[in-house]
Formats: sequence, C-alpha cells, structure tokens
Amino acid sequence: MIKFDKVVKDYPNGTHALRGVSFEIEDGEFVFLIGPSGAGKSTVEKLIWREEKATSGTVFVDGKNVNELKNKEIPFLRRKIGIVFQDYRLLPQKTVFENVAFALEIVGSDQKEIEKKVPTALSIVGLSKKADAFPSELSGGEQQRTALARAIVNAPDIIIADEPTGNLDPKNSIEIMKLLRAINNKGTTVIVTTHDKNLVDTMNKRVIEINKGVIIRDESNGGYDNEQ
Amino acid sequence: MSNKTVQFGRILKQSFKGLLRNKMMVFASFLVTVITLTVLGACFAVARNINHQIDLYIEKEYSLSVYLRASISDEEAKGFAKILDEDERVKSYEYVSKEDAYNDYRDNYSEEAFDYIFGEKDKDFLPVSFNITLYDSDQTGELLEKLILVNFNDINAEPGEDEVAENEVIWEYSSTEDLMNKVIKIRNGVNIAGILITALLVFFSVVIISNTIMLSVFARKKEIEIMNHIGATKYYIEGPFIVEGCLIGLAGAVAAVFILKGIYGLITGAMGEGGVTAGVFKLELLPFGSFGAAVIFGLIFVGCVIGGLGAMLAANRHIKN
Repeated sequence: MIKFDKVVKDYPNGTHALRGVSFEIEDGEFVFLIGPSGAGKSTVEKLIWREEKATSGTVFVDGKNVNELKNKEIPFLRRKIGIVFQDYRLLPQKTVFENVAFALEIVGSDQKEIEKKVPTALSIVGLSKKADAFPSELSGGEQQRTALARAIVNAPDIIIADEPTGNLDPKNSIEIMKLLRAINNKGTTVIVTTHDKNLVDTMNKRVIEINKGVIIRDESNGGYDNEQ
Repeated sequence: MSNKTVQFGRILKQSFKGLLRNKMMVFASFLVTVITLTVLGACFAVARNINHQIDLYIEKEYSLSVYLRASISDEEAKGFAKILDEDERVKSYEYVSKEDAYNDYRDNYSEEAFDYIFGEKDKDFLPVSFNITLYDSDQTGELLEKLILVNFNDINAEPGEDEVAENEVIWEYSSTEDLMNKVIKIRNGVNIAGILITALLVFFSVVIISNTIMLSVFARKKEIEIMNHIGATKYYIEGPFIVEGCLIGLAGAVAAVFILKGIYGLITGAMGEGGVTAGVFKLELLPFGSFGAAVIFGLIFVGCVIGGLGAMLAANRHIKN
C-alpha cells in the first residue's frame, strides 16, 4: 500500500510542488495520475521512490515511512518498484537482453537466474525475437517494451510509469497500456502519469488529478476530464 | 558462486573497463602517483640511512676526536697519551698513528684522489689523532678545555718550523656530540622537507585521480542513473570507481618501488662495498633489503589510500543517490 498523509514538498528554489496531499493506493490498484505540467505529478513519483524527501507529512510505501529510510535502505525500497520513463532510458551499448539482465545483475543475480528470468520478461512484453537487437534498431514502442521488461524482471510490487506513452503513436500507446493492465491483473500495483486523454478514458481506472500541488479529483473508474 | 562473489566480479570488471576508457587521464594519474610515491619512498630511505649513521656513531661511543699538529711524531704523541692515561674522565682512547691515517686514506680513496691529496708527500704529512671515549660524555667540554691548553713543552715535543714551545699541540678537534647534533638537525630538516613535499604531492595525486575518476563517472552517468532507479546499492555503483582509483594507486606504488630499488642500487653500487669514508666520517648506506619490506608495504598502502580517496571524492561529489 502507498499512503500520502498531508504531504508538503517545497523545493529549495522556492517552488511549492505539493501543498498538503493525502491519498491511499491499495495493493493491486491501477491508478492514473493526471494534471498539467508542473502540477506536482513527478514530485509524487519521486517521493514514492525516495528521490526526494517530503518537507512535511508522511509517505508510506509498503507500511514503511520512506522519509525515515536510511540512505543504505533506499536501494531496497527501489527494488520493490519498477520504473518506466517516457524516454525509455536504455543503455545504447547493450542489447535488449543485456538491458533487461542489467536490472538483475545489480541486485546480485547469477547467470543462471538471468538466463531464466530475462526470456520470461521478454516474452511477456512480446520481444523474445528481438533479444539480440540494440536499442537503436528498435521502434519507440519496442524500446518502451524493453524498458517495461526491465521494470518487471525483478517482480516488483509496484510499477510506476512516468508518461510511458509520451513518445509513442496511438497504436503503440495502446499496446503499452494493455501490457500494464496485464501486469496489474497479476497483482502488481500500477501508477501511470499521463497527458493522454484517450488512454485514460478508454482504461476506465482510478484517476487522481493534481493541480498546483493539490489533489482536485480522486475518482474511481474516472475519465481524463472531470465529468461531474 | 555466492551473490557477493558474483557482485564483486562485476565490480572488478567495471573498474578495468573504466581504466581502459580514459587512457590518457589514467596514465597521467599513474605518473603523478609514481612521482609522489617515489619521493615519499626516497625520503623514507634517506631518513632511515641518517638514523643508521647516527646509530653507527653511538655504537662507536667516541665523544671526542683530537688531531695533533702534523709536526708531532708518533713518538712525541706518547706524551699526550700519558695525559689522557692520567685523566680519570677518560674511559679509553683509540690511537690513530700517522701510518694508520695514511692507510685509511689509501684504502678509502681512489688512486686519483689519493694522489691529488698526497702528491709527493708521505705519511708524515698527516697528523696523529686520538679518538677518546669518556665515562660521561657530558664532560666532553671540560676535558676539551684542558686538552686544548696542552703545549709542546708539556709533552716534551720539539716544535716544528714556525712553531714555538708555547704553542698548543692540538691542531683540530671534533666532538661527536657536535656532529650528532648536526646530523640530527639534518635529519629533522630532511624529515620536515620530505613531509611537506610529500603532502603537496599527495594532494596533487588525489586531485588528479579524482578528476580521472570524475571522467569515468561522467562516461557512465546514464548507467548510474538507471542503476539508482533499479535499486543498485551504493557499494555496487561506487565500488568500480573506488577500485579503479585504488588500482591506479597500486600500479603507481609498484612502479615507485622498482624505481627506488633501481636508483638505490645505482647509488650503493657507485659507493662500493663498505661505503665512503672522509676522515672520521664514514658514509655507509643500508642495503635496500633492510627496509625494502617497509617501503613496499608502505607505498602500496599509501598508493591505495591516495587512489581510493581521490575516487571517493569524485564519487561523493558526482554520484547522486
């Protein structure tokens, strides 16, 4: 479970990113986080994976107050969270297989484990045949699917996708969303930030809308726009 | 293989990759480290040798050496010896005859130098001398005050040309106390200069290694960012850079040891067996082996610390959690 309790986040440059935000996300939920640029969506994500610390209020992930985590505990929090970015963040000199294996290497998996888990992850995202390709040889959709495979290969409890379809055409965007839904159906919590109205409307999931650092809407089975 | 071993293998692989990535900077860091550690090792060797020299004098226990005028013969010097025999402050003395002094020069100088000093002159050109040991070396000054007043009359010696019976017979003296004080001053000076120079060089080494590692960090910036997000530990992310720095320091230390051993060998070789003697002052270098282990382990340790420290500075500054 993720729980924000009256979370305030001010940046040193004077920006008030969040002004007292509270919400809860249950295990296994699928949530869209929407709002205009600069609304505070990214700050919410960064607070969850402890790239940033709340100025006041508490952020709980999996029952732990992440504000109180020691630096050496942070990597272990992040291993429970798979992160997908708009710009994929793949290593250009590594193949698809190696990019996915990278996530296992850093947590200390041995070669045997890597050879078992990477093909499974690649088959989930439908990239088994592209295992030896380099990112530059892939389409945007394929690169994002590689990033998704890397995010799920460690079997995280939570997937956070930051504008995952921002650089993709509608067809590929829908593919990525289908994958995220399939991952969610297996019990993984999925949080997606997006500007894509169509996707949000089609998926019909919980929507948390943030504007100017406050939650202005939290609606289950919501659409992109406030219809009330 | 355990997970830890696998992880360590990956860290080691990354550090070697890092070394190959910025060859020029790595080489520059290596050179500076070699210079730093060579100077450090040289200072250590000089200090050890000066201490050894001091020990040699302490061993001999001479407090005072006096040289009589050259006109005084071995026979006449017996009168002076009698004065020493009768003085209760004197524990013992070593008599160095004209012959002994002559042989000493002949044995310890090259033929050319010997010819230059003596030319046509024979052993009579040299003074006789006494190396005196006191019961209490604090009384050296008192004894010297007495001896310095001894004249030709006192020992029934015949004054030479341009000399009169009232002239003092002591031509020159040196007390080991003075010499020791000088040597200790030199040693302290060498130590302080060595520490200052080494500190400055260590600083340069740390800075340049830090810059080298910074380039390595920049080259892997994207990878580091991804590693951070996937949940790599600080140990896994920073390990390769620290190892990379330590490897530069280690290589520098090994090279410095070889350079020191080579130079030291050349110097001891040039000095020949038994060292160089100038009058009573004998310079003899310790064999490299006698302090080699301390130099090797010391330099390797310092090299690794310099490399590791430089790398840590770069990692702490440029790697965000």
